[in-house]
Amino acid sequence: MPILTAANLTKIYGSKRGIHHEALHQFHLSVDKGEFLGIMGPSGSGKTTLLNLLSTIDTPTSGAVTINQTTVTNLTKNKLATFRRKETGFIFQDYNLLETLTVGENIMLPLTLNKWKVKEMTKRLKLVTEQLGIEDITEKRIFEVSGGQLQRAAIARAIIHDPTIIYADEPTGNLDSKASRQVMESLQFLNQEKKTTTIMVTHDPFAASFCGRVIFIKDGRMFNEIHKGDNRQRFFQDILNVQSLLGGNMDDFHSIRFK
Amino acid sequence: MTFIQFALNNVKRNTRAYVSYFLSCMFAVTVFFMYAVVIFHPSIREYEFHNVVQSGIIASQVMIYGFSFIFVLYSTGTFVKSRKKEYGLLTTLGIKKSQLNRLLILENTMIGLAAILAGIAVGALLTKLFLMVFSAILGIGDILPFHLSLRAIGLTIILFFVMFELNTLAVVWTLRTNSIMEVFRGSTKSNRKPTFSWFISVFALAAVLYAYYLAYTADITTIGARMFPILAFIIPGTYFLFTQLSIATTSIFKKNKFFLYRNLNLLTISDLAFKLKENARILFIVTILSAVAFTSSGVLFNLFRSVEAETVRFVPQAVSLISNENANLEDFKKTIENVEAQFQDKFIPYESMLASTIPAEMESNSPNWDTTPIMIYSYSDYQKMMDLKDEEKLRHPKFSEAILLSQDLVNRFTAKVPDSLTIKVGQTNTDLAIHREASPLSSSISTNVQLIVSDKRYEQFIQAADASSVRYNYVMHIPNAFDYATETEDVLNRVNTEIAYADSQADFYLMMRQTMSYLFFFGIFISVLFFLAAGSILYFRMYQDIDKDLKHYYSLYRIGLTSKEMKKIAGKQLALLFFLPFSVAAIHAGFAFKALQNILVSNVLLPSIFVYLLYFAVHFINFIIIRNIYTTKLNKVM
Repeated sequence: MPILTAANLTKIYGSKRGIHHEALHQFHLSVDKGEFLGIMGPSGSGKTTLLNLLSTIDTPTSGAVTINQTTVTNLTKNKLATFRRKETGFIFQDYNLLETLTVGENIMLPLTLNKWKVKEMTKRLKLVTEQLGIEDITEKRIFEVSGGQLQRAAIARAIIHDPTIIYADEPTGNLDSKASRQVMESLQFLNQEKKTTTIMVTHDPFAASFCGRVIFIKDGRMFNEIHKGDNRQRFFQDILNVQSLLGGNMDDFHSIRFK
Repeated sequence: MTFIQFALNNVKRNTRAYVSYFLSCMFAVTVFFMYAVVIFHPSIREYEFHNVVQSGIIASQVMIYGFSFIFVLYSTGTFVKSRKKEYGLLTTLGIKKSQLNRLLILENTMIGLAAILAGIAVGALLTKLFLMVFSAILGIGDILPFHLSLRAIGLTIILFFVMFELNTLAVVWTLRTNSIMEVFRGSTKSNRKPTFSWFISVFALAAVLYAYYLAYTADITTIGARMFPILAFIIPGTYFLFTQLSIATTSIFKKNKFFLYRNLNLLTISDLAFKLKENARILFIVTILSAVAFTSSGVLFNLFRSVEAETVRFVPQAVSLISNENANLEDFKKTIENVEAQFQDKFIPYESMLASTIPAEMESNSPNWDTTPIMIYSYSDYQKMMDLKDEEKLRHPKFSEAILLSQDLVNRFTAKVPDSLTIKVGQTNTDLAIHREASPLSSSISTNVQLIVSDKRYEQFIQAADASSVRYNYVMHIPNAFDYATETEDVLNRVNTEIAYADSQADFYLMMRQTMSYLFFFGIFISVLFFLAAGSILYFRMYQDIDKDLKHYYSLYRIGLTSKEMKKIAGKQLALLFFLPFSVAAIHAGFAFKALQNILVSNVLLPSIFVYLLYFAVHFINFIIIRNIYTTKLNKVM
């Protein structure tokens, strides 16, 4: 039974008079409960646009997104915000943690916004941080811990309120290979053990190989779709194959960053 | 795009950031210019007060100029430094340091020139109004005609241009663009956890409270000596209040997890701790500026309002004419008739009486009271004088007693009166038991101490005294005396000083009113300037932070913060940044007003509240506008 369906999603950027750019063209997608979906594609293919539309951060030019029987594309901005904080969890490439809060406070943030009781909050915090192996750093400040730990803290924040769907936008984009593996294993663990529905955008075939299904987008349209068998190594090869089919410019958004 | 166009575009497209700085500079120029117009006004020389006004205005000009200097230096400094990232980009593109300097100097010159020209234009528009206010406050009958002197314009342009240039040079000179990497990081430093020391927090609180205590208990004798200690305690106290105690307070809130984790508190409080830490110095500056503005305008306004009450306090009787030593009674009576006739001519209602008084001297072991000259009145004359004013009388002194009357203000300075004093009239000495009261009589040229004795004793003194030494005191009571002040002064000025010495409320009142008008007139615009500068600094600060805040709120938006909640948090934080310094400044000023109340007799409460309300209204409007700009900007990411 699909938990998320997208029908006829179209997104056109540009002002009324300016140049139009169709980032997404009549896109159809349905995600089942407990699925771990990867979205891949070259830069400019529209995968981040798709994730933003699915995650209600952006609104489509036409088409509808339905999550858990709610047509979110019909909701007002304020209702969307409250919907997001209850039904969805987010993981971003830049972690998106607030510098003014400690790691633990960051993780609890969705609960405080949802007006939970303090006792339950701390209980819940303990539970998720133990699952992700970051229970020692909850009192630490953001700049005191490593990128991998930060991303796991972000995952903890994304799942602490038991959301219907987790959206991850390049979760390993800022991490080295060891930290990437830890983060992806955490996501896989949550997906397998907790049956958390996860939708992830990535350009990293290694990260994508943890998914159950990967879709490929090109120029705003569906290009291909592959499912994982029993072997992750095989799946990784399949992904690389499709990528070479798509064209060799998968890595061109590796930009130099000042940190 | 030429280099100049580039600089111009930088300024034009940053208008929103510059607007409040620009307006404050403009206001300074406007005020400076209008004062200058008054100094250089051709008809001002015809007035007798021209010297006083001129020195007052020059003092104000120096203050405005000095303050503008510091304000512009600060604003330019922070603004230039907040754009370090941009300079980093330009440096990577290969701009030379000399070119960068030229760019900054060009930009600031443009802003400066625009502020000067706009300030003079606004000043020229308001000049007529200003001259009207000037004439009204200083009580000049006819309004000074509109006149824009080229000298005023020239002076303003030259002085302010020099100021802008000097400041820009100072800022550019201190700007270091060491490495591109460093510049790229700009002003974003990692957010260390705000720390504080309990010791300093407690010290700050104690210092402020002690200063409050000093101000609260100050009176006219001690205020002069306390002024400096109060400032020495309150200024560092306020500084540490913001840098330490404010962080301490938020950390107490943070300790209470049940409060902290409730709803939006977590976001509000922890953001606030950072904002307070980052802005502590700004808050301090804003507080001091506002406190100075409140206090000076409140004090000036109160003084202005209290002129009548203070006049009655220092000169209790509307008019008193005391016959001169060598004048005979006939001449004195003629003078009185003359005065009365003139009052009748001018339709000034009055009641009057004639009292006799004996000048004498006191002798005492206490050196403070030895050889003090006094005027002795009989109780029945005293009674009549009180009846004239319709005031309560003291009880009749016994034969062996006397009531010593001296001004309440003087009483605080002078030593205690001994229980008994020796009164020397003519050649005889008499010991009398003394008790002192505040004087309801005006002081005369020879003494400000009067003695009331029983009628019988007075008879005795008259006989002892040399007949020619007895003086006469013609006392008048004028209902609504202040309405006729000018006329009264006019009449009394014509009294022959060989025959009588005139002392009147009118004289004192006119002099006080003029002095206070000057003070008020010169002080009020400077206060307003301070206050506007404080608002401008806040706006500036908000603008500098807005990019960081945008990112912050976008992060929150993505995890589901509604724009209503954003407005709530942002509004609360902004309100605190606005009204915390305002409240602290208001409390500071409140204690200053209390000190003022200890000095004055008239009630300072209502005028002070009026001043507060006025400033609050301006501040509140300012807040609403800035909050709306801020939240609208934030809403764009929502």
